Amino acid sequence: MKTRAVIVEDEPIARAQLRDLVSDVDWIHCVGEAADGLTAVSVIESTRPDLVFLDIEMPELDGLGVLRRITCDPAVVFTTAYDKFAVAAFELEAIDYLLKPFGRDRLYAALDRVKRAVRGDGDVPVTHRAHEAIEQRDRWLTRIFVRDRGRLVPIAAADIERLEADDDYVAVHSRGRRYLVYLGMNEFEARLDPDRFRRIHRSHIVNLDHVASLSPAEGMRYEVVMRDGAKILASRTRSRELRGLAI
Amino acid sequence: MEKSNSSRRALGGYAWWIYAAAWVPFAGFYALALTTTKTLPPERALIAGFFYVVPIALFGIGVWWLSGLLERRRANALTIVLVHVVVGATIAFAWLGIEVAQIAAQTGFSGAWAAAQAFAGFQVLDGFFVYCVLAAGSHAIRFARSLREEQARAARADALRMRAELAALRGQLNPHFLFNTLHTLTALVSREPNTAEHALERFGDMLRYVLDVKRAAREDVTLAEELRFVRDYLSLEQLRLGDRLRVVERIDPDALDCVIPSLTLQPLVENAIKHAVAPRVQGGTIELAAALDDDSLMLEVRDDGPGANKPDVDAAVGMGLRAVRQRLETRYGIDASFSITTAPREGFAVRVSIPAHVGTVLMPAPSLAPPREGTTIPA
Repeated sequence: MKTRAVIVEDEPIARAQLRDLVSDVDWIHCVGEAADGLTAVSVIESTRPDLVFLDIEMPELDGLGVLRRITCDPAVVFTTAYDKFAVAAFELEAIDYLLKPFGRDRLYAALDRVKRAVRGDGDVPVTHRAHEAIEQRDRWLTRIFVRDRGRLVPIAAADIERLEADDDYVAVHSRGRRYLVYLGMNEFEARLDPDRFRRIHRSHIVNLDHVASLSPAEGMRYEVVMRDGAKILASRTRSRELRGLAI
Repeated sequence: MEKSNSSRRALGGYAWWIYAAAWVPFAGFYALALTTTKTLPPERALIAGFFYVVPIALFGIGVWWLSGLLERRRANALTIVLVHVVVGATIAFAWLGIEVAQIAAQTGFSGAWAAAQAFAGFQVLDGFFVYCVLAAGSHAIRFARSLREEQARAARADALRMRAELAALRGQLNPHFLFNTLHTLTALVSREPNTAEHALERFGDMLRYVLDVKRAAREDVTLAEELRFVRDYLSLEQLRLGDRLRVVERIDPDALDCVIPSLTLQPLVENAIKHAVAPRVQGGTIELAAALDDDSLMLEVRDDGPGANKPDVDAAVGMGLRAVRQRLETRYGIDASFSITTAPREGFAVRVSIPAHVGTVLMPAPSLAPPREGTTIPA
């Protein structure tokens, strides 16, 4: 049986492109389209698709609003031109999204990941995670989802030992493993509880619960020693802030 | 040495220590003179030197204060010189008086008077000279300081202006427009190559216009140039929005040669699309008008969108519109007007009126004379 998909996109040319590209995919059958959010809700409710391509910026009701109103639980691929906030939320919940402009290759790469989710191997439902991403944008992160060889792995914030900038990615260290998330350090710093997570360097955030010791190093700086033995030299400025912790 | 709190604040405590230290050699030389000419024992000579210098050093603090007072009152140069001559002479004599009184306390009045006759002329001149150096130094320090502050203020103003320009530039071609347009073009490439080609040309023209206007720091363009840019912009938005975006133009051909600040019209159009077209399923119509009225150029951008409460709009004008209004205000003052007409369900209209000036086209038409790499456009 083919995967039944609905395309939600307000711009006619973009909608036609998506329709054409999807029609070339043998395992997907397109069962409906919508050009605005309200129509999208009724189309999704009546067709109950397995997969929805959902534009975020739309007239009347945006893509996140559509997700709040539907009662079924399809896999979702978000499309957006420029919504930094949504993108950060999607990254933290490992939700599939496509940044415009995208063409054939990027769409198919996203569909490869979606295929596994739709063909049901027991992942946490996408809509569930998307709800969390939307609703929890103002609160400290309690957990994130990361990808690990095609599987989704939830990591509780308490289990995140430290974060390390790695070019455009951030490496999340947890229980001896290292996972890459395509997000900036600043986004992480803004969403992590500062009582527990401290930025100690431009490229490092540590979880204080996983710090073994802070020892003074040359140049008024601190060397942060993690429980797993990793040692990170804090920057001068951040060391001053760390000194404030010691009273 | 005694220091008043207010003058310490004025120059910083550290500077007053330097001031005090500068007097030490002065006292030292006096003490040396006393040991050699009057053969006083060194310790007594040093004490005498100290008491000789202290009065004039204390007066010096007053000079710093006086220089500040004169500058705050914005006294002219002649007044400053006159005040300093009078005060300087007074202080020179006062210094002499104190010295004589000190001697009198030790040797009696008649002895002091006799001694004073020997050095009075010298000390008054010396006191006046020291006063002049102190006054000149005070004014020099204050001048240097105000110069520094002036430079800092100018730098701050410059930074503010550049930030405003950058914000304006970002506002002109907002990322939503850029990425959505690129997405439309991506989609068109294989489906309708000819449309894609044409749209890419227009997109290139738009980018060139914005970059040229900014790079050449060129304020002014003709209405015709701005209009060409706005039409490119509208045609690309029409590709995206399809028949939801409808445009009506009422342009007086005589107005086309008028000079307007660049990027005046486009933010108004963008605002109309953002509020009246993009968020509505049925879309909207944008009306562009330009007309000459006596000595003024009237520009109007009107839409048939949902409109808004006038007081709400006045309280929170969007960034794009605000930037246009501010630019017109700083540029033309009361000669320009910027008015918004709107009500709920009655659409939204922005009307701009500026003095009509006819100008020449400064920017080469992009298709005719593409600027070569490395050439600079004169500002």
